[in-house]
Amino acid sequence: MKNLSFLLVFLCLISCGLEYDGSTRIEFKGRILDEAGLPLKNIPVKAIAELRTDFIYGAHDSDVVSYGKTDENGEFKLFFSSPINETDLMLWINSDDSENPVNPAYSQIIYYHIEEDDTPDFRLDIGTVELIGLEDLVDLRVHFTNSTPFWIHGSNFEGKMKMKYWNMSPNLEDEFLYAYPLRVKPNQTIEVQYYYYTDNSELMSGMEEITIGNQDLTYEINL
Amino acid sequence: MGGFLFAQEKSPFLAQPQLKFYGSLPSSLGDNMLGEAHDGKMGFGISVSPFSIYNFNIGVGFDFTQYDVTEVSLAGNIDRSELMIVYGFVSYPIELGEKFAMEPKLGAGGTKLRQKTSSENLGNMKGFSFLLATDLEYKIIPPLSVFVGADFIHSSYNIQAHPENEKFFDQSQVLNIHLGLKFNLFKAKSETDTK
Repeated sequence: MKNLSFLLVFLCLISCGLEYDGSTRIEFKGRILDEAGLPLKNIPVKAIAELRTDFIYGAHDSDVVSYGKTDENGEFKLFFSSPINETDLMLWINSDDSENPVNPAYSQIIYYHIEEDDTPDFRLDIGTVELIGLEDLVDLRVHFTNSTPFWIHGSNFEGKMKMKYWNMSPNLEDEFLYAYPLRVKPNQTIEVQYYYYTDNSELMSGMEEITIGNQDLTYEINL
Repeated sequence: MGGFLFAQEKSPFLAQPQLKFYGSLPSSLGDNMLGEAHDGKMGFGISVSPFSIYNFNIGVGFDFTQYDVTEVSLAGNIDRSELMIVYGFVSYPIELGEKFAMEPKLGAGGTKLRQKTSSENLGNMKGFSFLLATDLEYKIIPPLSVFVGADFIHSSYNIQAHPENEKFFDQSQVLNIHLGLKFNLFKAKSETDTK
């Protein structure tokens, strides 16, 4: 059985790569500002398509389909042929390997699970987003508890933080699970949206506002 | 003694096959993806004109040009784009003395713009092209001539994009300078002998 799985993975890797429709052109656009509201120039941005070919061993095909940098107004536009068989489409801002920012002075953002609904008229416009400076951060740990067994399907945190993963389709399972502690700016309110299952339940959701002071915080969310 | 002259009307149709091979230096023009995000690299083409009607040469051709990507954020993360056109044309040769001739040409046909990296194809754009060209020919020694020329090709593609971006992707204009060889394969007689 294991040999058969290896054979299937091998066959998929040589024949099941990402495919593209060159007649459909997708655009990602947005504007990047700093905390003072000033445009950030030369922030790297890239669009990535992924195809997971084996859900057991995690094999996948991944293409950087477009990349660029913000201009003097902090604006960027990325164009690329639409992938047609991808399992995920992502936009990385100031991020190279999902762990460390390219420009070490600022935070990074990864938008993932970008679906067709997110690109009406073939455009994703993330609007104006803020990258924060990485000095004087504090730690935030979030614990989920419940009286019955549960599992967290995913979460989105909105606030000033060093690394933000934003799931554009929360009904799809999180690609990126937050590694606690989160490094966040002190003296702010962070909003967390979370999605979870309990035994025999449908996907449920909740929202919580977490007030951050000027010290590390461990926060408990009771489902 | 007298005689009669039997004159026969000259046929407008001439079976006069011509074959052209050429290499070209392409350049892409205009506010569109090919013009703004590419540099012309090289090209080649072939055209065949098997006959003429009322001195207009009728034929088909194939043109291939390759462009390097210079702006990834506009074209996508590819290495190059390849523009291929298969077209029909009509041209009119104008003799300029014994050794020289000029031949303006008008053509139209199907187009494919292929976007590639070194290892994979990242999609095709298909459409229709119009071609306007002219060649200046020097007859080396029959049936061989050398020619230099230019062609302007406007292409329209069937694409889907945000309405603000459609014009950027749904058309291209290129200007190619080319140099090549022409073979007149044979010249058939169009008139019968008269007495």
